[in-house]
Amino acid sequence: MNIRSLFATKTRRRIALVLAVILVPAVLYKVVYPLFFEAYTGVENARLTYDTRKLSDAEFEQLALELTKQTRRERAAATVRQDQDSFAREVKIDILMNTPSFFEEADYQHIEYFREAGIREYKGPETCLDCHETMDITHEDGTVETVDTLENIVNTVHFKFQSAAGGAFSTYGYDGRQVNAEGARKIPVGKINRACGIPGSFSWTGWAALIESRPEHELAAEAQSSPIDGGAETASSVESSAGPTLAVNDGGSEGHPTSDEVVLRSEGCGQCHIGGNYHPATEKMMPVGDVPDETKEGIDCLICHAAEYDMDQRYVILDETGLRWNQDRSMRSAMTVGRATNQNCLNCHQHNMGGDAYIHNVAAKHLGKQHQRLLHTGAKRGNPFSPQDDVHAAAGIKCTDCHEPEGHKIPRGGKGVDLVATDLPEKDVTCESCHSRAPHNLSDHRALLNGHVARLACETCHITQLQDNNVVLRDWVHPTWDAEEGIWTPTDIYRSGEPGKGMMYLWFNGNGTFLANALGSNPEGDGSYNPLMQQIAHIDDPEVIAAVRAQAQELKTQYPDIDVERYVERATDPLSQLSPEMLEKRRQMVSENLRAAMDEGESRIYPFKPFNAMMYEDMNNQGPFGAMILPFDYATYYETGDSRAAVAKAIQDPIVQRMYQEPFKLYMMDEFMAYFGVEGGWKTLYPLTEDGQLGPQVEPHWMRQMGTLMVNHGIQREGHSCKACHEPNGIIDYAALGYPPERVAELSSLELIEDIEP
Amino acid sequence: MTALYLYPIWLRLWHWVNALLFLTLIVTGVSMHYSLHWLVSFDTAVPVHNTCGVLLTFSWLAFVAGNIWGGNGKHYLINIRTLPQALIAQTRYYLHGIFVAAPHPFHVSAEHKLNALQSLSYIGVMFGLMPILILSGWSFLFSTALPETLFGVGTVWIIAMVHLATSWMLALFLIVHVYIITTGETPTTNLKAMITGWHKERSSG
Amino acid sequence: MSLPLLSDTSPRLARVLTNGTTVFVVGLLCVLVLAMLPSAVSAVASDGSVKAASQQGLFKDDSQDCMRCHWMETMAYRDRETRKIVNLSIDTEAYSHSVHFELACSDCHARGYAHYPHRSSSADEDLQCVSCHEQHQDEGAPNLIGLEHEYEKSVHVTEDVEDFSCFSCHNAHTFKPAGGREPIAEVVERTNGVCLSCHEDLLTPVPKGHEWLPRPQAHWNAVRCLDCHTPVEGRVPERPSHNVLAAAESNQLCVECHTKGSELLSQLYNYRAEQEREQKGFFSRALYNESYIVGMSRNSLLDWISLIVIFLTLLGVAAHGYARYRAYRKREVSQ
Repeated sequence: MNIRSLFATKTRRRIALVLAVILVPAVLYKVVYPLFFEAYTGVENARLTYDTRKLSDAEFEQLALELTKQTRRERAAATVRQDQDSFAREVKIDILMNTPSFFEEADYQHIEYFREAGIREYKGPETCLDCHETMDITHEDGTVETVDTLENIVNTVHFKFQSAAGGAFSTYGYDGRQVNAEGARKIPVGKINRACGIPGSFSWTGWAALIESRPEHELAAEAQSSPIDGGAETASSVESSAGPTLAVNDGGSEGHPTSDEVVLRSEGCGQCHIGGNYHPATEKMMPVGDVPDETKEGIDCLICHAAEYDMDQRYVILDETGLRWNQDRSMRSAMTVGRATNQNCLNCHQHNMGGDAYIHNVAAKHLGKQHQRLLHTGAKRGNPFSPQDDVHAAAGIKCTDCHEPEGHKIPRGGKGVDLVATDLPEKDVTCESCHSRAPHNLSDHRALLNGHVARLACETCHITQLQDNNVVLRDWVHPTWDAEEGIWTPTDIYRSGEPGKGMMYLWFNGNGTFLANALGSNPEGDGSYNPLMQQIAHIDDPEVIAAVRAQAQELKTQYPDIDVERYVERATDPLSQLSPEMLEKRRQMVSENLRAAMDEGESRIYPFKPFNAMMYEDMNNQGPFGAMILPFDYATYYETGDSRAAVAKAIQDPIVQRMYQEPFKLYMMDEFMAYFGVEGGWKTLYPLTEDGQLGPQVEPHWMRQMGTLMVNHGIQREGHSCKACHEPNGIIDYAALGYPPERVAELSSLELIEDIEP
Repeated sequence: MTALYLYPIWLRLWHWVNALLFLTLIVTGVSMHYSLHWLVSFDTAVPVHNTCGVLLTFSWLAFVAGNIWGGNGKHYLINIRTLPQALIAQTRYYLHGIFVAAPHPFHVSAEHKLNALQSLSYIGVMFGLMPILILSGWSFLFSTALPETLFGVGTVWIIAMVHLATSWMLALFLIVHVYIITTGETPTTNLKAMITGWHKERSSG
Repeated sequence: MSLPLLSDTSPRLARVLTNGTTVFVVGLLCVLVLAMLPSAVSAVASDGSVKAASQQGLFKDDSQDCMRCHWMETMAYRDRETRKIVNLSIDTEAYSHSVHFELACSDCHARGYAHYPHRSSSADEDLQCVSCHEQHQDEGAPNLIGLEHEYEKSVHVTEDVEDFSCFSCHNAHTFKPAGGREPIAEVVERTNGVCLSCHEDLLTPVPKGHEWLPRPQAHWNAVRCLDCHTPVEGRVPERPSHNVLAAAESNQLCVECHTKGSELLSQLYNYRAEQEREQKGFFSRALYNESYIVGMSRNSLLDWISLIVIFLTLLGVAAHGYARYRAYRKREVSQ
């Protein structure tokens, strides 16, 4: 039967046509498009391998015994009261550990499931999906939906780091349009690509890096390995990881390296993200296409679901395809799966709350069996969530009690000042949902305290300060040598957690701008409240200015070109960088475009962490609020301290090159610029000259205003006293908040509280 | 082959508007009456039903006007003398003749486009049931202006029953009407006529 | 002292008041009005002296002292016994539109509020709506004796509900006659909200005592509790009766509303339809009024007869059609 006979009759030809209509697009979509996509963007995908091993039954039982004993002991110890005699406590713990009704709750349920199903090796998502192919999601209205588990997780912000969903952002562009509002052309935005003032957040160039560090002292104590990785054979087996051996010496946990020695360290956004691929979920940035199946097999289920997840397995590895992050795929970890515990969330999220250097950051004590992760010493928010520093954590409240998930989608709350994507924008996460609008019950002045809820967010009083290492001003352009870590790091010009210095109070109605500026207005105001021209565009505190000057002088010893006075002016008055026309344009855009978003809804005073950074910008794409920030190549930056070279290296990344081409301009960059307040669309002049130098349009600048990050954790039981605010020179600047003079006088007079706090 | 231009454009337009209103009223009416939320939601059904009812009133007035001034009225004039005979002939045809290919007892002409059964039922519907339906419908709209009771029973209830009974009868008419139009020379002869205006028949006279 | 507070809540009024000339004009107008209605304003009349508008109601000096705190929308506390949130906030806007807008705080809350924190006993004052209205009858306070008679018969009194008073349902700080423009759904929600704030167990899927009622939450949204829980006789359309009936005496006949349509239509819906027709014109309101009640036109006998007739007709038509088809085929074959 030859080919021709297949089309011999009319009917056969028709069938062939129908088949072609079905098959050709399918082939195009599933085969041709992904190939084209990878060729165009330069991202690579490959089968991801992890060193896993099948346990013998005896090994499994040994591990089961250890884990069970450990969890029973921990739970029993938590149940037994602290004030008892220590001997009595031990006896009681022993009794509890053998009490069936107690350990039925304490034991890891999956050990029994694995035992029965004969699961002796954890192979990643495929092992989980054997049983959990579908899952039931209970929506807020009580309806239950059955969904494909993998599909569900792959489409969450935790995997994509962005969202193009309509109405997902309470963020407004400086052009006055709500980002991705219903009816607008939707572009994907989120951590993956947001125009945030933190270089390296550009997740393609900062995904995974191995840094050659040259420490001058022995590594700090945090290098010690996990105290809880007991006798698990599997955990150590991962060390012989796949891929070619690296040419350089892996210092890691053993030895006392001297200044000559090179120690490889891990760095990059990927350390916290659940995808194990060589790049973020780039495919999801396009209107069509999906991440390939091998990428989905790289999802790290256990980092969120295993109570005993080993963060020492999180480090960068190099294989035939490139750099990526290793995961803990040990059976030991898998046997402890269950619903996400607080520690699971904090494995990643303590990094941006308490910070890496926070003393109770558990994950930061497990930096990796090799290629230890670099710690970021300055805190992003400095408001930790831990039993030691947060009243809710201390009370045993779970993250998911407030951030109540629907399937794998986890709500962030409707208020958001920045471009962090959210899956459930409609679902509230508020203090009021538990505490009601009348939260104070004990004080004689409870009604009066409750009255304050009308104007103040709970956080305003109950976060009295942030951690001391909270970064306010960071200079990425002039790095300094960190002898201990053996790398060049960005220089923190000012750090503080104090109210008025590292923490500011602004009106906030839940809306923010494209560069994370809180929007709101004073409901009793005289119309003078204008944070984008005042509070967040100026630092007036003389103490802060003096500290900045001292840092600038220090920096001058290393960078003689620095003009200290000019440096201080630009850092503390970033609007001084604008031309008069730009300044006028800015004033006009604020009043014409942002007023509606500021006046909307109900504004209250919230605390914010202010942040500004000096970075390299592409001044071809500049507007009154800032210019396009350029990323740094981590390795070049940390190893050489040559910040210009680091930019030149990073922008050679294929994605950045594509960004400076027409298709990307039309697909999203023009829209991005419009939100950014840059008129005339995206200018595609690539900022690298032919000889590999940065073009003249690349200039170092501070952003034209500080970003303001919401702080909601680190809640203290005892809030600020009345006096903290109601006294002359209290922590709240009522005049700056737009109160009319008579009201400022009243609010900041001690007379107001004389009956209450004599 | 004969072709008669029986239905002027205004008449056809009126006919189809009327048909559309009828269908909408039946669907919304049924969904309200039995509270069938899956059919049309209650909040939609009520205003739609009310609006269509008012439009139907105008449509009916237009029909009456068309008959008086448009010359269409002559088709509804009944010849009392020949009526019984014509009725019997027509009924016999539907019950028997139609099955044995007997000749149609009535021949459509420019002067007489409706047979006796047709004109009688149309008169009943258009000048009997429709006014009752319309009046009862309007009474509903202004039920608050009516006396509380009538003959010792709630007025609204009486109105409701009248409206309901009339609606049922009109729904019945619609079913029979839709079927009868298939009994032309071919099943679609009459339908085509109401669309194009031209009544075409192979055999003449 | 008073100005910043005024501007918090009513900037327009504050502007008016800062203007001396305007104050004078307002004062003059007040004098004229008062000359015609000598006893219209109790605060003014009782003092025997004429005060400017700024000295009335919440703008009176001592009221301003109260409002320094009580303006806060969230001023409230959780009662230690009832565990319910007690609202202490005065909504200035609502107060200025309420029937009591001319009264200063101290006109009702006379003793024990001079110092902060207030003595706890100061909350125990015995305020009497009926007698106060009786005393001030000449000043235009409506007579509440009729209401009181109805109220005395209500289940809230006969069952001796603890601490029940006018204030259990009515807030004197916001009370105003029902407005004509409020959509029915909101009237229903507002009035039922009063009942449900105590009878909160009625918000469950099978509310206690209402097990017999189909789709209870749909009823809560469309009908006032009072439509069934007040006597049918002697209803006036303008306001529901204050004689709230016990469960046993209340209307439980579905047909009262759902067939003959007299009960419900003769109350709120009817009243509103009339009102709106006056306001918005006969035609448009009639078309889009909200007074259709499911089942009002339902009569099972008629429905069944009609459905059977329709069914038989369909059957007949189908049979006729089938016979025609058979006859047609037969002729085709024979030809």
